[in-house]
Amino acid sequence: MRPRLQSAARARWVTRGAALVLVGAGFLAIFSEAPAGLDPSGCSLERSLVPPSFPAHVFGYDLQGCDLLVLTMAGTRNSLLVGVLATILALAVAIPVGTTAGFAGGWVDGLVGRLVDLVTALPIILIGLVVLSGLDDRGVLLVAIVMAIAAWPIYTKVIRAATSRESEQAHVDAARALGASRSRLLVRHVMPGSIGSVIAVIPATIAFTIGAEALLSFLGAGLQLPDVSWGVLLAEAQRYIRQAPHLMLPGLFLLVVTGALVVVGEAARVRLPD
Amino acid sequence: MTLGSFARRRVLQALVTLLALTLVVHAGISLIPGDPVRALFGFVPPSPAELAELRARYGLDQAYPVQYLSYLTQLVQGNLGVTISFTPQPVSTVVGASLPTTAILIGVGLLLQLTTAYGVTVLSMFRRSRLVSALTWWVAVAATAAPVIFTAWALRSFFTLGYQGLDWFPYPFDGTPDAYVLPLIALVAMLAGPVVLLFRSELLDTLRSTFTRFAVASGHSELRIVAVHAAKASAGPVIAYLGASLGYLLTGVVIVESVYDIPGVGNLILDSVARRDRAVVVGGVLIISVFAILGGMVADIVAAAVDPRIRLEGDAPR
Repeated sequence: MRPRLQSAARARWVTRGAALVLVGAGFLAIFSEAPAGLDPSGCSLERSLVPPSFPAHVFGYDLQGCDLLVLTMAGTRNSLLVGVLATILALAVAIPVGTTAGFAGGWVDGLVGRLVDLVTALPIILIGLVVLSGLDDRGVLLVAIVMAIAAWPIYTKVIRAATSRESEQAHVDAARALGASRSRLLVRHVMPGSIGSVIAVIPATIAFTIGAEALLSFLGAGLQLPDVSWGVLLAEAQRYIRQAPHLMLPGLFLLVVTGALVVVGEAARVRLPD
Repeated sequence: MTLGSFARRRVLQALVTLLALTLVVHAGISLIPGDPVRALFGFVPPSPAELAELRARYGLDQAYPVQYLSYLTQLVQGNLGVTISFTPQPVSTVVGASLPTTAILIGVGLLLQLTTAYGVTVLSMFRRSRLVSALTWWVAVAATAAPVIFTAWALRSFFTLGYQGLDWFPYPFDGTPDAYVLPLIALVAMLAGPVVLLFRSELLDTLRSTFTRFAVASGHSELRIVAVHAAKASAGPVIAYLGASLGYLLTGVVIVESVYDIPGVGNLILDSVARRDRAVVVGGVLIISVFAILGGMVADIVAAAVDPRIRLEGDAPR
């Protein structure tokens, strides 16, 4: 009797479906303007908090009488933007720092290691909450910077480990023996093998970032109206949930997109070599 | 390197991390706009003389480096300072009063995280059922993906009377065991999800190895092979993940405390941030970070004890 062997990732169609969801969300983020959003002409206070009706207004209306589905679709842009911006910023720090630490070794490596440990131990999102709540003008970039500060140690760890492993490969020694300069060794021989390792970590980190944006906005320290994001909509919902439970529906978008990111991340983690 | 010297080095590193932590949090709170003394007076503006006197009493009139150094000198002597209020109390008393509730959330949360993750993972492995395997995977993905703030809030809305939900659990928090149920569910969902996904894929790798075939040939039962032999061999990366994710656990505790109005350290920190009461914020963050750093240290040392390769390389797995 032996345990059934199975793949750690789900069947291929699940991953494909998740990828499709992400493409759809990206499409929404690019093309869905906020027409009825906070444009008074598209909303009517007469419809304030009207519950969902099928099939025309599946999400119902918010306090201002705007169609909640339209608002949620419009919020996709800021929610995804925070995730993507934070990832780009975090990678911009993590790739040079992690590569240097892994390649140079010695005290540089030790210093980076301690710094990463320190930031990992700090509840960054809470500190971000503290700092952001002291500021009046909180835009997407500012929130993304806080997320990037929380995310860079994860990437740095992964890149450091991969660089250190790659530097010990025979082909790197061979290039060194042939007289390649340090920078050539790094760029042509080490980095091509080490950068890929970070890809598997990206989707889950974006999911975390999108959730953290919702958290900050929910607690009143993230984005704020007239900027719309899923977090902002949920923060609004929090106040009137009693009269209008349908205000929780934007959470569906949040769950489906973060879920899809986790599925894609799992597939990448299992299939890519680490 | 022996296990002893590995452990000593790890302890030293933890102390340095704690020291840096005090500076980051202390300076961070001091840098953001807002005046703790002015905040005491609400809408009635104090006279400049009163302000100056109170500032001097709390040492806020000195240059920042002096303020930090005097805080540090106190801290080394085991003194966390006093709260900024009209009736100052020692920070240790204030934090101490809210610590038990938080300790229950952290302790029980961690315990449930480990048992749930282990149970669900083993369950997903050894029954030859596609349905169970698929179901556990989807649940783990959902738990990983759902932001804890959303889970906690949705549970509160559905299952407490506070928001016209079902009257199954008390809200606001009253300290009874019932009141801990929903916060712990939200916490454990967020914590156990990623562990199940990681443990599951490590286990599957192990089960493909020849050593599993040997165990099967030796006649061990399926349950024993999965739950004991393979689980032990797959534990390394999982322990490393658990150690590194303690900060995540603490953030989760603070969020859950805030959603359920639980009078713990997390809420104390959030309130004190609003009042810019630096000593309380630093004290609270320090106390919960000690949990995280100690936990990370224990995880590294346990991993080194389990796997000699780690201490031979002289560094913890990253």
